[in-house]
Amino acid sequence: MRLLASFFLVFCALPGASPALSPWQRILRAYGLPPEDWARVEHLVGHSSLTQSLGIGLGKQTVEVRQIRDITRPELPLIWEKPEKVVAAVLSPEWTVFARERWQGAPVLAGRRVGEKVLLWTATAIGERGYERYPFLPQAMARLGVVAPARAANLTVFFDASHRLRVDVPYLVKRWRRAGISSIHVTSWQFDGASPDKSRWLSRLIEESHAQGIAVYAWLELPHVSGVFWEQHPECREKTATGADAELDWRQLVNLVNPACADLAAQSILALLRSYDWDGANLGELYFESLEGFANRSRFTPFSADAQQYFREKLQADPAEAFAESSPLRPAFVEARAELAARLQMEWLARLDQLQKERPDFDIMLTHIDDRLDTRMREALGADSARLLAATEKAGTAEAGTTFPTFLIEDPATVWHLGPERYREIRARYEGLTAQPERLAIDLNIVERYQEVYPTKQQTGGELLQLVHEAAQNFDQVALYFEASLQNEDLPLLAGAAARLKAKQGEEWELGGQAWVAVEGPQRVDGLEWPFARKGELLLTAGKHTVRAGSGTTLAVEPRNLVLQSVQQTEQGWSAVYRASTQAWLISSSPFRIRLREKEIAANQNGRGEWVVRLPRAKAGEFELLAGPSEPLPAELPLTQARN
Amino acid sequence: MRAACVLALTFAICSFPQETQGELDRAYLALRGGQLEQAADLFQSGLKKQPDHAGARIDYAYLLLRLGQTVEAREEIRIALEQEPEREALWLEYAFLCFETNQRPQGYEVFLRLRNTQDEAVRKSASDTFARIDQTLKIAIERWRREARENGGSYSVHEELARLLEERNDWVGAAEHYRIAFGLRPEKRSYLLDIARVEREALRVDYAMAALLAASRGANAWVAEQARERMTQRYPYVYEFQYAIQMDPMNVPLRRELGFLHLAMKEEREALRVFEELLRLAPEDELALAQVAFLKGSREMLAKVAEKGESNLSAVRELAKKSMDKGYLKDALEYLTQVQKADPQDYEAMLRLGWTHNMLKNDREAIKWFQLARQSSDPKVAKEADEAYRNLRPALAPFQTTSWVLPFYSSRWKEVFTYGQTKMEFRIPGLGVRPYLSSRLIADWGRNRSLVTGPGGALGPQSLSEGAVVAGAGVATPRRHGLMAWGEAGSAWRYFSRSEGGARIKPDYRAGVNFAKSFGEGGWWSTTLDAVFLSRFDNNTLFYSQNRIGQTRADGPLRFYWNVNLTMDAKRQDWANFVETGPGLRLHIAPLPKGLYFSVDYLEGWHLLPTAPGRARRFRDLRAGLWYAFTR
Repeated sequence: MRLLASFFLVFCALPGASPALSPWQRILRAYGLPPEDWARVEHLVGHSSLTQSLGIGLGKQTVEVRQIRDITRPELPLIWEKPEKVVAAVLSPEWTVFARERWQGAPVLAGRRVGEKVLLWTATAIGERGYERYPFLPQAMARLGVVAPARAANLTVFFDASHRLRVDVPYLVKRWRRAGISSIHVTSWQFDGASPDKSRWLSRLIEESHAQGIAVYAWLELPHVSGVFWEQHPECREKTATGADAELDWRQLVNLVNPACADLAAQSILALLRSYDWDGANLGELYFESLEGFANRSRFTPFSADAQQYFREKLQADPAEAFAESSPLRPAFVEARAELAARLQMEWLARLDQLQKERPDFDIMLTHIDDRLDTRMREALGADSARLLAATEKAGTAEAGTTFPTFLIEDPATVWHLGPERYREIRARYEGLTAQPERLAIDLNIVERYQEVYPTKQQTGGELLQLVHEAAQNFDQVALYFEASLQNEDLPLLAGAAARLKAKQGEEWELGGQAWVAVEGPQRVDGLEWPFARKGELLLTAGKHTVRAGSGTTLAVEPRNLVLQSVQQTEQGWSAVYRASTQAWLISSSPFRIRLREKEIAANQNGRGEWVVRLPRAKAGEFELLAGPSEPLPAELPLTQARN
Repeated sequence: MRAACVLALTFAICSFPQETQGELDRAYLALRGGQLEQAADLFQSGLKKQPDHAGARIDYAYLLLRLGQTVEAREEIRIALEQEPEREALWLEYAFLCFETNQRPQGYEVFLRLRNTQDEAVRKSASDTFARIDQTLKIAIERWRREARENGGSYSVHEELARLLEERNDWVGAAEHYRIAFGLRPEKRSYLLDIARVEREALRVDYAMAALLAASRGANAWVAEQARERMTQRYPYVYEFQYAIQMDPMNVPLRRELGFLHLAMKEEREALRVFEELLRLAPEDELALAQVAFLKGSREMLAKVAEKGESNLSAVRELAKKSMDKGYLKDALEYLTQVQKADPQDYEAMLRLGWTHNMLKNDREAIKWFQLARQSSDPKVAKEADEAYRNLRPALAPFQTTSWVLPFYSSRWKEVFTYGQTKMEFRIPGLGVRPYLSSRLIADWGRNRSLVTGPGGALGPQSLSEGAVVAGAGVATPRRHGLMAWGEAGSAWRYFSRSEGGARIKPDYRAGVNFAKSFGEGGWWSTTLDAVFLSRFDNNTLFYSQNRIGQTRADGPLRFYWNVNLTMDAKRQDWANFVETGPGLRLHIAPLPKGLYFSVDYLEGWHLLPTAPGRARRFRDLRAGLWYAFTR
């Protein structure tokens, strides 16, 4: 369904996210620079006496710019919606040209360093959002040495294994970790009935990911079960409203309304889930087709005999009548279809719950298309997020302290062309629908859009960074669809964009969420020796911190796949409260010990020579990191809590 | 024989690009050491220098696969296959990669071909894969054909069917359904790119070109630019426009451009037909309306366009241009004023306003517009405006100073002479004539003064130089149709007077009528006629006729010409009545000031009256000198 194009357009006007910010400031903010650093990167536009004095002269030619090419991805056409005439510039040798007009080669984006300052020149204004004309401004900044001071490490990506079967797995996983990715959701259906080689490949992927501290989820895409299931059980094929087998795009939809077929599907899926060391399952997009809704019967599901029977009972009429324009049956049909989708979703959550009981560290997530911003999704797909959110919370209230499944909101294809501000709006539309707002997460589709969008069909550069940044400011967890569509040039910049760095003034840091911050040499955080560190970086919790150069601790432990909520110094080391949706890891280059649930655990050495301790899934788990016996802590140190 | 082999080997080693080999060696070293990204960089730079190294390219492709860069890997393999097309196993790899990277039609074609290959393993794998793919496609196509029959109004059904047909290399069928999908959803202009792609594969090049042409002229900039990327560099033919219009009948810019193309080809009837058709489709299209109005000469329609002009400036701009081209200057002025009011930043309109006022002899208005247009960011507009401004400004300034100097050497007199004048002219509004102050210099080097003064002692009026400075005041009429009159009174200070025994300062009165005109550009003719009264020449009146006819190469520094000069006087003095003729050339070197040039003339002359003793009736004279004049 993600790959479908639709003819819908959303005309809703979204309020600007940051009316006070100029387009240039939006770029700097999305890059991860705090306002205090903005003056370091200066933007020059067109021709003036200032640009003249800096070595940008006027050429003789006037060029109409419709398309440019950037050295970041020279093969990618960067097309401007509105052409603009510019006088070709003649640049002095100090300038590096990053982008040129496509046909005449006139420079349109260049940069240079002047002392500590970075200058970026563009031939025209950069557009209202900052990326309409020069999408690779962030890459130009990176080339000129601008570094985001904070990096998030909690991104999720959807992983289509079919694109990666020949990839070097350790290389790939390492690259994910560098990009701030903490979990991947793997196309599990591709491994139903997999050959031994393919099966080993998946086991290796999971093993390697765990070794790097990355959680691996089985991504389910029901009612698609798998290609094998489709071939083996033709009697379980869902039908479209024209009576054809519901093989739509790459999905082969199964009739889950039929209890026997649902049981067969469950057997297949649970077997798959038990066969590998998954950290969780993502029950994705369990509703119906298609985005064209009633307008296209050839794609409309479910319409198997079981589904028709269900609708007939609900409507007391032939469901085919609902396709007539202005049919009075339509509202009741839409309601019955949404109810059916919710029923199936709850049934499958219950099946996955069984697995969670067997494996306590197993996490369950739901991916659900947004139907609050684009309300037509309910009619088109049967999607009803409010109903599902309420149903999952009602089911969980029996046990106190239950953590409800993370609810990953997918922005529908119909709004992919809208700007990054939409994530604030989406977030607002879900306020009040859940007792645990922290369970809300957002899923960004980084794919070619069918709409008329500029300058690129697929989000990249400044647009992608703004999307990620805006999403991360509004949701604790950001997922990106999909891993292979993320370009090499964008990957290193995502962690900076996703960081919630509110302010940084000298030694004072303010963070809206946990992030790695760049420091040089040993540091103390809020007066404490701080062990949660890796080379050149400290992991700071959300809140305000003072980071000062100091003696620091020699112990450097890197938490992976967890959120530190608070850190206190104890007589023997540090006590930390953490949150982890699945298992988590503490990794160090030196041996270390922790105390977990009253039990002292020594780190084990892995094949890379690193020392590792595994932590269990927890909403508010605690562990005590013990300083080595050779380095007793002074008894007079006050117990301090990191400010949140 | 062995020596020859050693020599050949040495040659091969020496001629092999060592640096490139080094890069590729290092690439393999990095690859073995697990430094994948570094190895990829080295392969890339090594292969740039040694693009024919197919083996290294293939290894690079497999490295790219390890790095997850499947599209790039496919492209490297494609290049390697161009170099070594006999590698059947590699073709198989390529086919699979095409399938993985959304190039399924290409993959299908390669699998199909490999079913008949020599290598058994390749043949079997290709045959099995092809059979599976083909069967799946057949079923899917059949299913979507059914859907298309039952649900034919759905664009997405036809799109789905077209894509499946394209995957199965049924190009013509795919084109048909892409066209239907486009017909159902014309706003999705990317269908035109799909049509072009499959039509090209179907070898229906004209249709492919027509689809690209239609796409390139549409409103969707993304599609248009993609189409331009795929089009040939040449401008499309008329029939291609016509095909494109058939394919995309609602494309207004496309129809409009065809109309303009007919106009450019002087096919006004065809153009009119195209614009009229366009108006039937889009009655509000002001540009088309403007063209029809001009082609039909309908002032009523023109007025209609101008009325709507506020909302569509380009139509009014077009009207202005057309009016200027056709010499309807007052209309042009009206349209341009309208454009300029609606878009005060339109510097081109300002420039045109300048020219229109200039052509209407309203230079005071013209110069205002030229001055404004000089600020244009378009260097071409700014330059043209600046030149026009500079040319006009002197004529409109309250006073104007003109200086000229003409030093030259005469072989006849073996002397260097210099004539010069600085004249300050005042323009007093309402006064029909222009007062001026003048200072003239008439000088020579003095090399043959004794000869010129001669036995008679006193300097005769026949001498070419008086050695005097003449200061005076006068009035002149403005030049009209090449004609002007002038008169001045002053004093001449002869700086050689002491030795010659005459008065040092003498009154000087002079007046004259001048006519100057030039014709033509490449081949040209210029004439100057003067009648000058000079009090100091015994109140004589001299008549000069100087004519030059010549040829100039455009923008060339040299100008060749032929002189025909006639000089006469009222008092019929022998020295003042002669005719002379001969060739000449003028040279202007670009970096030097515009008003400076060198000239050489060779003249044969004849005195028309009996001459004084000692003076030959016929003479020859080579004159070489320079001319410099400027106005401030």
